[in-house]
Amino acid sequence: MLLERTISFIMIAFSAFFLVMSFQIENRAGDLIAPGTWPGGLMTIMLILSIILFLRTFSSKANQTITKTANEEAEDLANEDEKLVYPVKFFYLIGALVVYTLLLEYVGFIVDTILFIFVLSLVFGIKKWTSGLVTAVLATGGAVILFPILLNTPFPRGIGIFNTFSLLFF
Amino acid sequence: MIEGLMGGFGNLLDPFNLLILLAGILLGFIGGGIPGISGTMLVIILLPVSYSMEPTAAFLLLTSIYATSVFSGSISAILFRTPGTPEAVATVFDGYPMAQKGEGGKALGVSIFSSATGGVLGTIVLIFLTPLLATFALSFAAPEYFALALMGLTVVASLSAGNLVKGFIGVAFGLFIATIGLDSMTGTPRFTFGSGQMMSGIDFIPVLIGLFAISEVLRQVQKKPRKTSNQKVRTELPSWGLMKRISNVIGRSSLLGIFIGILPGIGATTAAMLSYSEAARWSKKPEEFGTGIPEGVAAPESANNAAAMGAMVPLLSLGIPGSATTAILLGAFILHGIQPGPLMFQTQGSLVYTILMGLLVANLLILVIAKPFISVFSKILRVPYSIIGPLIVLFCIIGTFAVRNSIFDVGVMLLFGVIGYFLENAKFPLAPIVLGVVLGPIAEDQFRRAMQMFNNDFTIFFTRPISLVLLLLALISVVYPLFKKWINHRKAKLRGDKNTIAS
Repeated sequence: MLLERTISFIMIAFSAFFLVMSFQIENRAGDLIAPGTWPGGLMTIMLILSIILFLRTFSSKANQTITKTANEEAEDLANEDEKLVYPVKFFYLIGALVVYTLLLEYVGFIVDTILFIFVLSLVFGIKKWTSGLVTAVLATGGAVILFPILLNTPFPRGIGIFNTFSLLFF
Repeated sequence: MIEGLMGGFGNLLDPFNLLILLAGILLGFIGGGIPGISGTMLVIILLPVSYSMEPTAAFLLLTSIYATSVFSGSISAILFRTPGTPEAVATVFDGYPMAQKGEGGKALGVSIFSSATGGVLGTIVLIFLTPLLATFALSFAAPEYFALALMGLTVVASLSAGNLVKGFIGVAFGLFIATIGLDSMTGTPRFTFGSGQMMSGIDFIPVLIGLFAISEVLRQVQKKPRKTSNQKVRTELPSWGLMKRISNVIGRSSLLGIFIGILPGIGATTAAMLSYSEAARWSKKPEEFGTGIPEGVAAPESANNAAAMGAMVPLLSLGIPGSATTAILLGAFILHGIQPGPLMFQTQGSLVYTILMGLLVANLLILVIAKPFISVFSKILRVPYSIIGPLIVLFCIIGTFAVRNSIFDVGVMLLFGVIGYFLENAKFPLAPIVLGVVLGPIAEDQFRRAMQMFNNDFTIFFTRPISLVLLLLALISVVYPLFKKWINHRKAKLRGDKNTIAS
């Protein structure tokens, strides 16, 4: 409920902001249908709908609490596997992804990816860290053979020593 | 013509050609199955390799790769919620929920059957109706394209699982994302915040991979570590009963797919999306779409294979590409000194017929080769998630990066991963967003083009017959669910009143 309310509020802000922005898009040709018309129309629709959504989160129907029946409680226990036991891992994963993306152009694909896969396998709960390391090296190796070498897809090399290092491989 | 076809088949039996055809089929399977490698990509990459071959062998290779990769993209779409190729976008919607319900093998079987059927139907149409269909499709101008796109978008009403407001917000959001970048008609920058990166716009692949795959990984990492799948995925080709049940959907989607493939400029990916929409629209229980039903896999999978074949129609008959990949094939023809078009059947008849037969064989072989291929592929599922998870993330990153060689795209993917995660928690349907991003460019461009062509006359959409029909269908699909809801509400109220009187 709170999540829905927050999200619809964010959407109201989002659509209002971009609605204003779409008015500022220049209309060089002076056409009736300017580059700003379509996005403006979309943001208007989104704004109206987000407001409706936001108001709905306050309605009395939505706030009724439903007591669970015994059956439903049994179902919940059976869904143990589906419970989110480690919410903090969400942040670890996002953190790792962001760091990976930021470092990619400086450190190059090979170094970045080996570190990243290793860290990620730990986050994902791998039992032996050595397996994680092996996976990291094999995965990166496989990716390098497949994409830059066999398929000629350019991969980030990084700068400085990392650049030279990557040249050893592809 | 029959002699031509027989001649073509005879050419196929040449050992080298046969070998190349099989190599192409296998490459297509593998490439399509790995997220990050798409059929289009493989065709581009092997283009220089094919240059040194005889035209027959070269085109057998390129076209068979394309045909089979359109199918195998569905494998990881179903198993990992990550489409292996863009054409498998819509297969994620019902394929993955099926896998989650323990019906992964069933979903794969449905995909195999639908893809093969769609592809074969597409090839047959390709062979026999090339001239007829090309002429009809040429009468499609901007207003019809816009109406078609609008019709595809309005089925969001059925995809929204009952919450229309959230669904429409999603569509509007997706359509908006598609406008970011340089306006294609006037070159005006829109919402670019002065950044060069933003000027090239936001590609739909990072959005898609982020919304579905990354958000899923974000969710999975928080759960107890376990094997990727507690069930063995054994591909089950559909039982006779299941085949009968989905045959309507397959037939309809294949026809739709062929038609969309023929339309120049719209390819298999859009066909998959639109036919998913249409299947939901025409079904008796549209709210089941997205929960994991075979129809939800059959529709896009038959449509995309059919469209891939349909896209060859304008290529071979008029020399106009029907999709991005066929545009590359056009380049390949020119590289080999062949001018595709109306004269091709006369000057290069044998080549054309050989290609056609090769496509038929390739699509049929999907039925045969898929099962063993998938059982090898699905051994992967025995590996614990702590190894598979990072690998999936890696493939998502590589796949996103490889589209435009852009780290920015990887960032976009991450952003949408987080967005998708929270939106799903708040029970927002994600499919409408993808619908908006994929159909947005067509919808807006064709709308403005139509306005320019007809002097800002809005009524043009209603005076042209095809466009009018499409728009009416669009209107009905938005109004009908609202109408149904209102009727049910009234019925419930009446029942409630009766109860209180009785007590």
